[in-house]
Amino acid sequence: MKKKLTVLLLVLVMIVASLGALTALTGCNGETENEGFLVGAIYINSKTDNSGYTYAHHQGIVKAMKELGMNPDTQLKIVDNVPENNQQVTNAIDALAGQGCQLIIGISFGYGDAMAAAAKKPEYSDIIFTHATGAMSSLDSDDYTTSFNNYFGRIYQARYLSGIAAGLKASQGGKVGYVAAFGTEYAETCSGINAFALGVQAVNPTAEVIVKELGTWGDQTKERQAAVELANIGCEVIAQHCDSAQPQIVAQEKGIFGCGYNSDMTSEAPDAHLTAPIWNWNVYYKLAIDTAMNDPENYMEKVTNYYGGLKEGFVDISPLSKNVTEDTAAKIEKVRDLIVSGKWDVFTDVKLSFDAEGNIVKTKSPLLKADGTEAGDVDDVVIKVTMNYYVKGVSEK
Amino acid sequence: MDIAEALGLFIFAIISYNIALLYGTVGEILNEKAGSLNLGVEGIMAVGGMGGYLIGCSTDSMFAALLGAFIVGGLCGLLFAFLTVTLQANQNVIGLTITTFGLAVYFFIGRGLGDKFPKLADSPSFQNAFKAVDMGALSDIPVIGKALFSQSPLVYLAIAIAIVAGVFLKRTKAGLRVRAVGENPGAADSAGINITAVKYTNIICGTGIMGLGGLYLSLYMGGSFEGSATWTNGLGWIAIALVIFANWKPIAAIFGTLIFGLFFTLDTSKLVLIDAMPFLSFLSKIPTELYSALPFIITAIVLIISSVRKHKNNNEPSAIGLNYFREER
Amino acid sequence: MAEKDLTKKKQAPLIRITKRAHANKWFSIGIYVGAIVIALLIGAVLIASVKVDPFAFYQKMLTIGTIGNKFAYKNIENFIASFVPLLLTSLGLSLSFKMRFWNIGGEGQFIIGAITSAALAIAIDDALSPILMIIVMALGGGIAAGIYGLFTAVLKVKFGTNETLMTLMLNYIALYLLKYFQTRHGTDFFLNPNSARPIFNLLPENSWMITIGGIGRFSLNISLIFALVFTVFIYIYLNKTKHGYEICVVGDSKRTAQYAGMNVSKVILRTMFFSAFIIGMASAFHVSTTNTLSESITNDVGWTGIVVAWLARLNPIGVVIASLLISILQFGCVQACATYSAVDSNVADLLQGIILFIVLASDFFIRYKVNIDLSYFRRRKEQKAAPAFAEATAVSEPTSDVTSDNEVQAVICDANAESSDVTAAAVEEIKTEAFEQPEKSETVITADLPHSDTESEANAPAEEEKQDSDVIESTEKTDDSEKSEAEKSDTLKKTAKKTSTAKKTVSAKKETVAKPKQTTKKVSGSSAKAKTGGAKKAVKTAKEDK
Repeated sequence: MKKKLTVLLLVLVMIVASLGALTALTGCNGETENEGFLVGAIYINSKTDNSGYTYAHHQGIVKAMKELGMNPDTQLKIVDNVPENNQQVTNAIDALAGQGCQLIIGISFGYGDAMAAAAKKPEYSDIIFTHATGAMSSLDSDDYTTSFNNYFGRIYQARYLSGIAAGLKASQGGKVGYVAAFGTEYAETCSGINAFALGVQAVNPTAEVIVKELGTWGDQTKERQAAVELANIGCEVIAQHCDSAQPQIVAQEKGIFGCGYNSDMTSEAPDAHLTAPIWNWNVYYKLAIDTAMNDPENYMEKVTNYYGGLKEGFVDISPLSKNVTEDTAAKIEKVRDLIVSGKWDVFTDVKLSFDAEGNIVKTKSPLLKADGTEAGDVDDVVIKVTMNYYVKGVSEK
Repeated sequence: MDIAEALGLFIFAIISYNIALLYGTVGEILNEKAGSLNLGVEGIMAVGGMGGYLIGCSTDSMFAALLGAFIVGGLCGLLFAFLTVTLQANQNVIGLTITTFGLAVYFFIGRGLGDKFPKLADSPSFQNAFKAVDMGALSDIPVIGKALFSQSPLVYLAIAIAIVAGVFLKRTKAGLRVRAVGENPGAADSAGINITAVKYTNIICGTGIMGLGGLYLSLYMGGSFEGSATWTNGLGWIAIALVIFANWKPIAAIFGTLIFGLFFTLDTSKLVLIDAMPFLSFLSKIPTELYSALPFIITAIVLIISSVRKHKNNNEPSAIGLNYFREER
Repeated sequence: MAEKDLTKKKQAPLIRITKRAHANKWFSIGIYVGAIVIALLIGAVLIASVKVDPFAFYQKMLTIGTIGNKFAYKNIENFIASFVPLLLTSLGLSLSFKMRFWNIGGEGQFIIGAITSAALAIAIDDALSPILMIIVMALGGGIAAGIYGLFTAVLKVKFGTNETLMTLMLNYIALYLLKYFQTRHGTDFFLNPNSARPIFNLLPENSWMITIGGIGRFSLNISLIFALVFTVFIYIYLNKTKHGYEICVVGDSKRTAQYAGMNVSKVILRTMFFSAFIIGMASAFHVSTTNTLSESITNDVGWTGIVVAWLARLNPIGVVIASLLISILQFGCVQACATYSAVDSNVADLLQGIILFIVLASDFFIRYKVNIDLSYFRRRKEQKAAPAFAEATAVSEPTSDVTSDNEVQAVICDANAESSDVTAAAVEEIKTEAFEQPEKSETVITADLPHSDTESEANAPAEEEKQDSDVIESTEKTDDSEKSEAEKSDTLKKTAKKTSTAKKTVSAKKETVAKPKQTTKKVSGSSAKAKTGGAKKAVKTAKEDK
């Protein structure tokens, strides 16, 4: 027993000694040069990804910081590959807070509980928390000691536009495929599919939109297999609400077309890709970081629970590739003008279509569900939280 | 879609993805028959695939890619063999470490290359060598024609390797030696079999074959690297299960692959099948997680049954997982 | 590297590897520290390759980011939250590993324990006080996990099912069960009713882990205290109680345990249940600390635990140190990568892998003594000068191949009928091969020694039975058993006996060395038959033995 204790002591002494040596070598503390405002980010995937959800966020934060004259290399602290696990998220938050970050960004839905808990801690009262795709905020209760907001966007508007591109490319009455991580279980994916389908129907009224639901985010094998299935059953365009470029790569291999997501996937599928609904996360991040830096007391008033759209430039579609039909650009522009000017939105009871000269025709027509019943009024809450039905023309395979 | 077409596409899909399992399984059978339970399959497939793909892209040659994948896989096997056979380390721990380490290396290389990660489209002959073949009249047979005769050459390579391995183990003298080493290294040693040589050869060949499986997956996924998940996606663990299910016989593994593959593909394709054959509608009531868990459940049942019956044909090598040290014999 | 094939050359080898009697503690520690240093050096190269200062990175990592951190106490709290599950899981695994029961199912047992304790928390809600709630969760999680582990143990004991493969399968079944509960497919018992997307609900507040505040702003998670106390308990259990002794003996050799009168099945079942129980408890504590379930609730602790248990040589004190080090490595890397974004967060896995490889590789030199005999070269020279002389001297040495021949018989006999067919067939194959090659005829002869003697033929079955036990011991033994003194002397005596009997027969047979080929064929032929006859007999007796 004595021998064991001495061994233990020796090991501990060695560890401490080496730590001491290291500390002495590097100076008194291990802090890097932190000038000014620090932004902390928690990513679900890797910060070095070349595409996908995290990549889009990372690009957005970096771009926003540069626009504000900040240096992402020293002022952006990242913890990546954080699963949706309370302990891990809390570790990440504490790590970033310990570094001195004053704005902490969490990009995945599952981070919400941990971030909400952190936003209620008195010691974190000078840190602002912001949560993507979330539903909680400091407006919900008085327990919060700091500002905590969520942000999301009207990506459904961009999906509508991409639907126009897809509908024009497919043959009249043809099949358009959609690889979705989830379908009617999440309002976010559900409204996305419906918006896409409505866009397709604006130019291709009898087209079928066939959804293949994966049941999980981030499984690129399943994404590929679903896309292959859709191609096998005769889809001419494959759209997606999932992270990897696999559906587009499959479209390329099969000689059909597709609409990507999150980023311009033309480089992965040069002959297949039409356009993709993308996020310009930097629009929000510039607002959030600027306000957190310069006017933190009024953060909640200025930034609110952000829900920007085409108008703010928060969502958009990637530049149309060479594969789109000739009239695509013009038609999309017309619809974009309508949306941006506030005169129309996707889930109103006004249906759009085009006449022979390419002008928009508005028709009053209630939104119908897949089973034929009326969907009723669709407001922001429905789009973000409660929508759980497919519109007419959409089916699941 | 009519039944014939739906079935045909279904069977095609079963084979085209799950054949990678066969590579992993045959490789693992070679390892286990020689007495080494190699839990590093997942890592070896990932690293082997990454290595093979990179070599294939830089040389634009399928042959070089295959060789590269085999060598990279074999190197991992060499490490495993050196540590477990020569240095007598515990096989389970080493295998698991190789998995973790292999995956870490995979991500390190892939993320490190970043934008420079080679695109498959830039290596046309490498890419074309993977494309499905067309065997004319054979491919036109309804239902099974395309599925059996219109696959990628690497599919047929997998089946060929499985058959060769099966014949090797069952009917050749060298294969008998391998089995002896796996059953009872003490006796085999006394009979003059060079245990070390047999184990090393089998482990390295086995892991080389696993590497080929990794290469297959890399090509299947179109060479698109993603920073958060590997091409293998857990297939290595299923391969370990399949070894048991196939009773350590490579030729049976071919059919085992089809059965396991059936469950995976059912999960993806069930709705299309139900459309063509409405009597299958019960399939959609089974949750996805059950489909994913089925291979493991079935293997567990097989494990139980085979040990219950002390089945005469239980080919599980008796000395599996045990290191052989001559002085302790 | 390994010994040369003695049957071919008949000389003392250049490099001889033997097992060490005692592992020198200081040497072992030195090796481990050396391994860590080498791994850190390799890691430093990788870190420097992305233009980050390795020393700064390591300093951040090894101090888990507490220096220069105004929330340092939080880092320590979070560190403890990830350290405790790893410590307890590794303890549990080391218990079963000590018994040579390869419980690879740590992940699955952890998940089952987590699901059960979460279910209890949700079901009981606030009916119990926090301390009682945690106890109930711990017991519930432990028992559920214990049963999950017991399942495999029962199969192993009753039917001999391979536990490595079985527990591996059960891991995935548990994982998919957990994933199933995170969807709305079957039940939303575990889910947050207010959330648009299916997500695990926060557990009721009274199930949250109790912390002892007051040390500045730091609050201590009581599961740490429990874990450390439990470590001491396990240490005492393994080293001072009868159960612990039984575990050691069963792990060393099942036969010995049986002969000593222990109920091996009971020991295996009990220990495996206990091992899984500990893991289930660990998961209950973890669920209580994090306040919710999650798909990644294990954080790979089942896999890391195997590595930690092995690094610690299954010694509870070692487990504390090893899990501490690995936790520092993993947790510290997250902290350091947050500061130095250029470094990939993968580096923790890479470092861990390198450390393990080096430690396990150098483990070899701790357990085995490598003797390099330089007189080998002298002897080779002499042999080249006078071959016949060298042969005779070589044969009279207590060559292990002669010893082994008696064992060969017993070994073939002891193995079950099916595999003995395989090995007997293999042996015969090799021997028929040997007939074609003149230099191998010697092998054949010496191997035949026991049976060419009519006397020994009659005695063969009896001898084989006696030799059964020690041979079985040695074949069942794997790497790192430390023999007790008594056992060692026993085996030494037996080996001495064998060599003396072998020597007699060897000297009797020296003349036959010169005999022509054909005679040897006949001899081998008949004895081959006799051998298989003897083998079958002994198989019967061996089976009855079992």
